[in-house]
Amino acid sequence: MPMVYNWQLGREMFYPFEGVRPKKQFAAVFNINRCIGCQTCTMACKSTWTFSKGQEHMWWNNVETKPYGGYPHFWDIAILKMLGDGQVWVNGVYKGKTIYEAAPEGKQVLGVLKPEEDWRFPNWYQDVSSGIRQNPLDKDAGSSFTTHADLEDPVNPVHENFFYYLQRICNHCTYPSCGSVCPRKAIYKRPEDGIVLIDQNRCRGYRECVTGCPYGKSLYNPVTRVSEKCIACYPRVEQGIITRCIAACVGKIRLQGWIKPPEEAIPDSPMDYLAHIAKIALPLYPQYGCEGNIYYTPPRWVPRAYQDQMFGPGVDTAIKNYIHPSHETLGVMQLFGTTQKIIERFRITEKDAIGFDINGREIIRVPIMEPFIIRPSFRQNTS
Amino acid sequence: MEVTRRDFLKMAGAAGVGMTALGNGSSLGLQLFEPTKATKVQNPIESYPDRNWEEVYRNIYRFDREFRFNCVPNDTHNCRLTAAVRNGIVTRVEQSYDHQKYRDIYGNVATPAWNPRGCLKGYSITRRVYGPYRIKHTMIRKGWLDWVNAGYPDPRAPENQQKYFQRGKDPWVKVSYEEAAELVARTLLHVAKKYSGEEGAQRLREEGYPEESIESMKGNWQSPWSSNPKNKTIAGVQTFKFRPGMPMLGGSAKIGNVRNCNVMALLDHYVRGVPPDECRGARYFSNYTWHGDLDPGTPMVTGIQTFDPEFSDHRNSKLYVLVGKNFIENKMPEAHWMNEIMERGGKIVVVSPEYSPSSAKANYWLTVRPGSDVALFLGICNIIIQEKLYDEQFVKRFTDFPLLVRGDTLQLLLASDIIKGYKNKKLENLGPQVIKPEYREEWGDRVVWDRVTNKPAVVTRDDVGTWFDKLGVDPELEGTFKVKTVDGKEIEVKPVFQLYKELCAEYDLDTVADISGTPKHLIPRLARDFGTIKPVQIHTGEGTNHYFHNDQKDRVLWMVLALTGNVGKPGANYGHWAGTYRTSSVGTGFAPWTNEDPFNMTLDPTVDGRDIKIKKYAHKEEIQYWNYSSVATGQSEGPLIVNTPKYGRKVFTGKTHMPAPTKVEWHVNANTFNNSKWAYNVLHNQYPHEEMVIYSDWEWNGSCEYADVVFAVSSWVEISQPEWATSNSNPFVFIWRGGIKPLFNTLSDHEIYALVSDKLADLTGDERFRDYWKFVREGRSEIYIQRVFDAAVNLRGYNVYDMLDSDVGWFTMYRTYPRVPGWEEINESKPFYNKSGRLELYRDEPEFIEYGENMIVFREPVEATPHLPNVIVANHPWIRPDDYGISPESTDMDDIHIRNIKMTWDKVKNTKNPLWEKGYRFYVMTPKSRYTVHSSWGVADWLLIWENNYGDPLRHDKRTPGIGEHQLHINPDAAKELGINDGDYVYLDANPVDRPYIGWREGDEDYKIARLMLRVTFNPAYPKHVTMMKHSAFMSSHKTVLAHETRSDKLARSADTGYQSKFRYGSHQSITRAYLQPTLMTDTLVRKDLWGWKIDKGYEYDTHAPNTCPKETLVKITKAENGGIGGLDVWDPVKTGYTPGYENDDMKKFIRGQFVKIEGVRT
Repeated sequence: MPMVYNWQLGREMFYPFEGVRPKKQFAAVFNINRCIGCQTCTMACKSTWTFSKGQEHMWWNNVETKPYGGYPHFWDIAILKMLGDGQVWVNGVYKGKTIYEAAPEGKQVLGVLKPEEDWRFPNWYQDVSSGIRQNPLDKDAGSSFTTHADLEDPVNPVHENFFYYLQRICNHCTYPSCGSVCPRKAIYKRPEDGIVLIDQNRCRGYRECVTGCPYGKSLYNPVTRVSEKCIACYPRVEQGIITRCIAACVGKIRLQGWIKPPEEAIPDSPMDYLAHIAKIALPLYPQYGCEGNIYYTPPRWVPRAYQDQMFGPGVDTAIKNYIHPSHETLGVMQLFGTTQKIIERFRITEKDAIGFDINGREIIRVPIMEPFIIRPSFRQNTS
Repeated sequence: MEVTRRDFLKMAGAAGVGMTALGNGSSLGLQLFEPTKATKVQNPIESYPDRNWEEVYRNIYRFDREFRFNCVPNDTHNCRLTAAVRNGIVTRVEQSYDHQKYRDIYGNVATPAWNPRGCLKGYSITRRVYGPYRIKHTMIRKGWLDWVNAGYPDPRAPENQQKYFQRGKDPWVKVSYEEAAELVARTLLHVAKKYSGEEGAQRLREEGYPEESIESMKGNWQSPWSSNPKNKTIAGVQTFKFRPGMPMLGGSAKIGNVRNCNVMALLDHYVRGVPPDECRGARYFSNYTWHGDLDPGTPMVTGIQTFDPEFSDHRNSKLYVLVGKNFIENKMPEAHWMNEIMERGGKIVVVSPEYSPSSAKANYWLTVRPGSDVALFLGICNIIIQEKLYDEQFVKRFTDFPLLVRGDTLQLLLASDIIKGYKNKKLENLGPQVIKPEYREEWGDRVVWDRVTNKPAVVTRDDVGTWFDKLGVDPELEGTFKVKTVDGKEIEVKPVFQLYKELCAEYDLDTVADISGTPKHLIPRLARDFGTIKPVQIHTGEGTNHYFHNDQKDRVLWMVLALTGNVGKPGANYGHWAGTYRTSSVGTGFAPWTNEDPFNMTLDPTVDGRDIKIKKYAHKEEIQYWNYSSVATGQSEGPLIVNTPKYGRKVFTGKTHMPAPTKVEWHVNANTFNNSKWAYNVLHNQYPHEEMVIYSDWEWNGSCEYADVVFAVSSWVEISQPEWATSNSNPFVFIWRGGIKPLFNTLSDHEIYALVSDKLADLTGDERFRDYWKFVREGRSEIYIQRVFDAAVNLRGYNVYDMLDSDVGWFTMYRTYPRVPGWEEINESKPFYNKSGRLELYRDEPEFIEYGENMIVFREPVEATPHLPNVIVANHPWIRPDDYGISPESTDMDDIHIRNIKMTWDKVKNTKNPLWEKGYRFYVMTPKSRYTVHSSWGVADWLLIWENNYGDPLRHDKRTPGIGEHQLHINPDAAKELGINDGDYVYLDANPVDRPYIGWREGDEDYKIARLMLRVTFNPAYPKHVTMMKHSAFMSSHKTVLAHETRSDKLARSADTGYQSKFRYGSHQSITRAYLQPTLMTDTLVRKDLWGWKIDKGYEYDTHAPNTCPKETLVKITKAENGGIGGLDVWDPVKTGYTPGYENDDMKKFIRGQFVKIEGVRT
């Protein structure tokens, strides 16, 4: 097995193929703090790609409530459990095993085939909070408690009985496990944009990718009898337009762009800025080893250990930089949800956040503060 | 190779046939596929040989054209969306990203920060437009048709009820628009005649309607409630109740139902033969009061209907406090403005019983016992006052805190009380306000105690802000003073502030924590945040509006803002945010459309809207009365009349509010019956009195299921004549047309009104009926829209045709952007729209004094409490409620409404609510769902799958009524104590005295239909006694229950209408009932008219009227069936150990984040 460098782990790791990065890598930042769990993204995707027979259970984009929600059910806890106790980060380097390194004998990756019933109830336990105390030594109030209302403890500023929304599409991984397990080699990464696709001609529906994707984002279509997944709306991306789910996001939590590894970061590229410079965007379950390319601004009040488990060792910094943003960071955050065009570069002035397209043309200008307008006095506010 | 999606599916389907014969993967080579050119893939993350197949998805994505339309359900947003059309079909919807193109006539341009708006509902609208529940034809209920054809035999005769009025059970007849309009017109004429004059009055008396209601059908157009001495007879048209469902969502077609009321004056003219001045129109039902959307205390404090700042102003706030408002879930297109506070150094605080989606965003969350918010905030005011955290300057300049109150009468001290021959000062600081001279005399001038002179000093309603500064008076806020009245009495007076200082002291920290259950240390934290952070914005909503004492909640929250000076400034103010109620936003602009004088019409299309002749024949009525039945009197609808031990029969509904009997209903754009609190009671007790129930809509809903006539109307993407809408949450006005041809035989609502008028013209020979809708009939209804814009103070200057051509939205031209309510009052020192011109925290009208609510006090909820319902929790001697002698034991809801007794908390604490004692121990929160707007989208397939824990497109469990179902969130411990598992079906029963309907009996077929059964979902976010069930689902009907019990697949879908229920049995309204709050039915409260700047008193539409309060419900929960498939076992997921309430060690480890360890330096 060749060794590839996974910057999210801070180390090299095993991967079945040579590590070749695409010319550009599709990426997005999802700011969990802003998410309102409205599922507009979900419906945007559904109405574009998965409205046909055989796709009734299929939601390429979903938003689930953590900790109990999950589509498919328990997709993450299943893998975490199998990866076991060795998931340790030391000084920012992942010392545990990835799903490639922990693969059982004769398999490329550690994975589990999700049974049919786990794709039902795609949004179960929405808005359901944890009923388990964070500290197991606390007097256990059983399965639920209601008295813990202090959500701003100066020592441990978290909400103990938390929940939050996790927005999920295919991660268009740099090292996709779906691609590595396909017996047909029908899953590939596009060199021009890094989008990972299942060749609908070549796929024969073995469902190895359904098993092999630790994020549960390869789905089987019983009518076409092949597997499908999020295609990052490439017919739009090819025209410089953001994906349907990102364009739909009414919470203004999503921003799409291109990401480089940290050492090649372009400071005025929004993704590189948010992930590598402002450091407010973290990968999802980096320990899986896929180098996924959807990045998250972690939710500010959720217990840290739960977030470390999900986003790795950058959580504290990300939250700090998010709630106390620099002027530049605040500016970049204004660009979320303002245009349907892909913002390639940005500039932040004293008053405005400006986005540019691939040719350096200004495509959007957002004032950091809204203007205050006063009209002639016969117009009335009191009406 | 070019592969289209269709070819591809075909091939794939065919390939499947051969699949079973295949060996292992490496030998794959399906004959049916053209072999891919290069079969060897070296490194799939580097390159891939043949990518021609990628055309598949490009082809799926293709579309022919786009058009813009507005998605206008009642959610305040009116999002302008883009529809993509392929082969004439709207395939999907997209955000428009065009706010940066929205302008006003002054050259102001909106910013792209408003992009995007439009939520999952707009994005799934194709599932409704092309969905199975569309109303495809105009339909008439067979029994009703027979009744009309039989010549209207007495509908009250039991045999005729049996024969003709089996609503919800009869089959339907498909008819043309023409036929339906003719039948409706004929029936209108019949009913108008039947209930007009002395004969009509006699009929109504015999039916048991109170004299006050019948009497209210007299009067004249100028002052609908004051009897016109010339008018000796009642007008039958007053029994028509038309509801312009959410009027602001359709400034033309929907609100056109008010015009429809106005034109009925012609019918009255024909029927009673009285001159135009004595004619009356039909009545139009309210909207937002009845939805519980309004904050009824706001007009009590400000005189203004509501005080909502625009959403972009939320971002300016530094302390943003949500009280019973789930902003995150409810205000989706614009919630980001609030969320962005966290990036801009502001604090978010949530007060709500449960850990809500908004609590998850909050810096801190205060849990509160449902309905006890007023006590909590009186406690907070106590800390603000005690620690002197209030803004003294603001308090003196803009509030009634310095005004003196008389200890003897509890009324405000007037200058004329103490100065002999005092003449009220001439008012000069009016701004746009219009005040009748007699009111000005009645109100008089108020008095403060001046610390400079140590004497009383007169302060007029002009004297606010800088006007007050000029007086040179420095009023005392504290202390007790003696004054001599003109009749020689020496009386004690106190400033309002002093009274509150005394009263709030009763709500000390221990007491408040005990009443509210709020953690003690968080109460001072919030009080000090209020006192030290500026600006502060408070928002409430349905969460707290849905309690009986919703006005007290508003008043106390206003007190917090009045004390701390957080009014009239960016980032400050008090909003409630529910509903697109704000027809007032265009001032008096609607009148040329809704109230054009039908006897004096303008048929010239070029006339300025300001020059159209207006006469208000249409008469407003609060729909809550239609919804209110009394167990004691047997009244099926009507005012609150109680036989009190102290005074005998007493009417608690003011004359200005008086409802008329209802014989005809016509609802547009609203699933009114389905959404009625106590819906099955309406069905059983009110509907049998009614003769024609009409619904106009584009989907067959629960109300259609029980109607007589259903008109099919076009959806928002199909309308051919322009429609327009504006909002209060965003600053935009939109005008649009549909972009596709109507799929079915549908019209717009106003085209249907016009058609009915057409038939009335035929029946009466009065051509004015026809002319009244001239431009609608000609397909030029934009002429009426232009008239509204001409007359609307914030829209004048716009040209309808330019707007249509521009294909973008426009600014509503309020005084400021963002619209900051109180801008004029605070920044320009203009008086508020009330008696004192100040923010009024004290109420001295006789009703308020009588009910013990002259000061803001905490009263226990009227049903949802473990303690004595409705008791006043206070001791202050200046609260002197009139105890009508209602027994503490009484469980009659009419009685409880008026239980005016006062007790201290240590006594109240030990009192019992008899209902609680009988095992009704769960509160039910009934909030809005993000998946529906009212009931719209309630059964749209994708949303039904996502809305609940049981969404399953394949319906593995055949008991599920659809592909998802309604659920009750419950605390796992509470459920387990009742032997209930996650996923089980339960019965929810409320007070058996009157629910699900008055007169129910065990074993009745109708009881089975009405008794609520639903599934439980475990949710530790809810305290033990608090449960939650979303409101406005599609109810069970006779036909859905029949289907559920007889179909092999058990779908709860009516056989003939296709109506789909979200329940197996009952509805969320099975457990609710109607209430009539005495303080919301006064004739004396001074407030601005809804439209315009005239100040009046008493009832006002959607402003001062009883508000619905569905949270006043206690329920008993009983297990009905096991959750597992077939009811044999527990619901499957419960066995995994990963679900709430059943966590195994792995799940506990997961939740505690113990699978991963971080050592050393963090990155």
